[in-house]
Amino acid sequence: MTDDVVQLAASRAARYLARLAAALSASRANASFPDVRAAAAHLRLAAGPLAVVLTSGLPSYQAWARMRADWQVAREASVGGRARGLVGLPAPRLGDLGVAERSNDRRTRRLQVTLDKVATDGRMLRLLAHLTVDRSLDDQALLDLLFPAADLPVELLLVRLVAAPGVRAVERVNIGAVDIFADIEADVPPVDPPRLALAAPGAVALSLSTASCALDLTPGDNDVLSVPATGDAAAVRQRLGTAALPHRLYLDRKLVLNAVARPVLEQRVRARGTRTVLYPLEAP
Amino acid sequence: MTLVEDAFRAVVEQFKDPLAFLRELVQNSLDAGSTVVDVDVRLDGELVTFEVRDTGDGMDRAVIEGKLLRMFASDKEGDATKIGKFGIGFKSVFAVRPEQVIVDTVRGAEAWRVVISEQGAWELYPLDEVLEGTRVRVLRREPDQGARARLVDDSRATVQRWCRYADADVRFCGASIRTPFALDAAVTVRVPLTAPGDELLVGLTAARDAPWGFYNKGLTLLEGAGPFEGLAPWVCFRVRDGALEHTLTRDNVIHDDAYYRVMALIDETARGPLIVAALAALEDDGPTRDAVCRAAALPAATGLLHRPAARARRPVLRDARARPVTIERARSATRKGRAVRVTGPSALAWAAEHDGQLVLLAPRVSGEAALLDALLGPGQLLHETHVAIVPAADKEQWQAAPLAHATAALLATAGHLVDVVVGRLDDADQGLGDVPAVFAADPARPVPRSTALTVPQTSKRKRASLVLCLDTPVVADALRLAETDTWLAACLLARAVMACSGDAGAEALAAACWRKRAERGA
Repeated sequence: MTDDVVQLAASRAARYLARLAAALSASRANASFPDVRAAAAHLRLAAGPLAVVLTSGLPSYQAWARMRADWQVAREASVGGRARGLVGLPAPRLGDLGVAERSNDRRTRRLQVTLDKVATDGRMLRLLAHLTVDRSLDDQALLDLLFPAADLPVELLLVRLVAAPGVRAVERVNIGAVDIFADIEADVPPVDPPRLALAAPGAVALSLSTASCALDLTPGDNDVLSVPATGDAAAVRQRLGTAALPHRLYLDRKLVLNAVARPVLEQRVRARGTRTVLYPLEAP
Repeated sequence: MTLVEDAFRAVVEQFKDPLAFLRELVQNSLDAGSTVVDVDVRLDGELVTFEVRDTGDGMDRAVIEGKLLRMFASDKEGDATKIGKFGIGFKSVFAVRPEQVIVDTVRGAEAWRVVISEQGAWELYPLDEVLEGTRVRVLRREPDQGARARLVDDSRATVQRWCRYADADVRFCGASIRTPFALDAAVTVRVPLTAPGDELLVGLTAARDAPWGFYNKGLTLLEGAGPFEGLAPWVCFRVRDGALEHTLTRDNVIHDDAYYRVMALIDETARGPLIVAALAALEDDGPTRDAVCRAAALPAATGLLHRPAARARRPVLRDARARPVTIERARSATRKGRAVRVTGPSALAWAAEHDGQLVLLAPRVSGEAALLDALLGPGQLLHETHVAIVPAADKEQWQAAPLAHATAALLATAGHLVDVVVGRLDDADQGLGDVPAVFAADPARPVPRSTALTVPQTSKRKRASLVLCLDTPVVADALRLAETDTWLAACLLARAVMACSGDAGAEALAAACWRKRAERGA
């Protein structure tokens, strides 16, 4: 998959990064999302030109990879103010697996698995799953299974996990994503519908969405920007709640908005009837 | 009241601090995956409102009715990724004797408000409010104004004590109370544990009230200060481990496999990596060297710094010129009686070095001195037993030469064959006071205090030196007198030297001198 990428020159990138970091810090993202505070800290310390993916308005994978390289260099040879700041931070997580054992017996392990990933379209994802797996399924096998699937719609991810060899049960799958950053002043042209909605001068908005499939969930759609599922995802949705796939789907989205963007989104929220959490963003 | 309720009330009342419910609510927030937890205490007339807000997973009706409101029921049981397990966490709000408790919570498409009365009766309403996670409000009426103010201060202290290292950003009345997870120790070793974020800090300390603590997701399970039973007295530690659990009454850590595994790891780290880190810190002359030496003295006394042998080859000690010295060399020189200790660079140190001794640096009342005592056994400082002679400048030697010759000649008549030279004593302690001269077998080497004033046995083959101490009143007077009457000055000086050394022949020598002078005069 290729995405249109725009290169921001250093001065424009600095302003963009400051706004994105401020927006991430203004959110109260919980453990369903990637660590937004660490991400904001890395963005504040980033320097130089920056590649931004147009569809999401977020830094590209390559931009994050460069930040990770900076972090590694800073750890190995701490030299100055910026390096010192980087050393105190956790590494930018581009495809990192965390496995916590909830309980185990002789043959199976009940796990809480988290995978943090930066997608090719710039979305910052955290896949969180509660799985029961055979003891033979080690962490590397889990990473091989989850990494390519983490970009999928949550319904398809669920089906893939349920069908995966070595996976005995899937209690919960959750994808938390920092998925859209609209900064009209940064001259990143808005190309997708949600960002078009924000196309007012001075508007800044950050979207954090969650999509959950779980056995113990009341289904619903609280995503003010959701679009109907299509293709395979639509087919899987039809089967959710059945004996074969008893999981329920819940969609949610929170938004960080500055004063310019807020009225536009409030209007949308009223129109859709969602209970959307809106975080205020002070101008950085 | 049912037996279960009775038992629950008994457990809740065992909490030493009724405000500990704040910790329990923060714990619930962490278990719900919240990364930010706000704790507020608001005063409105007689009403005190404690509020804990999070952005975690929230609760649906099944959890509220099946777990939250049932005694000793918890959906966290059997889940090692959660801290709370006994179903006590939320119910501890009753320890503060509230008038009402209001819980607002959102999970998936469900949003609920639970209102619980003082007697524990509850009602459930659909919540029509945009909210994320869970908000718990505990309302208590407190007529005493002073008590109300104390509740705010005590709440802050409670949250700080139990939650300052929490994984989430815990804020009290808007201000973050987060503190970096660290140890105040001379040397600290950080050991990552299996689960992400879990770690063990083991420190080397000389403090008697050094801290230790057990934490789960950064929440305090148990803390204390001073030596910990079963560990060496110089060990302090902090460990955050998701496998550690507190007891039902929250006043201890459960002594299970996880606890014993952690304790074994602390002990192993304290005897291995911590000692290696301490040796590395001693090799680097950092600003904390004195504190590191002081702390390292304790394990050094047990042999941990020089066993196995590779550790003894680490150059962790310093000589008088601040050059590195291995423990092995210092111990070997000490065994052979060829090691001395000085408080700093001095003529005495250089004299000992000239004499082929290993001169170790041990400033008075310092960590360095404590470390040497531990490694090499107690030892005196060189200046307590010896003095050094600082040779006078050439000009001074030349000016004093007639007096020195005359004095040597007079002493020779008394049978003392000494070479008389001039110099100064390097005697920081002034232990020898204003003695006019000291005897030395070799003035270039340290002179034992015990023999410095004793007239040595001499012969033509075995001569000693008498060092006239410049700047002392007797020698200064003698030098002035020598400008006009060298013989008289030498006579007085020789008598003074012999008198100082307790030689009974001093007066006889003086009398003989006067006789000789009278004969010459006649």
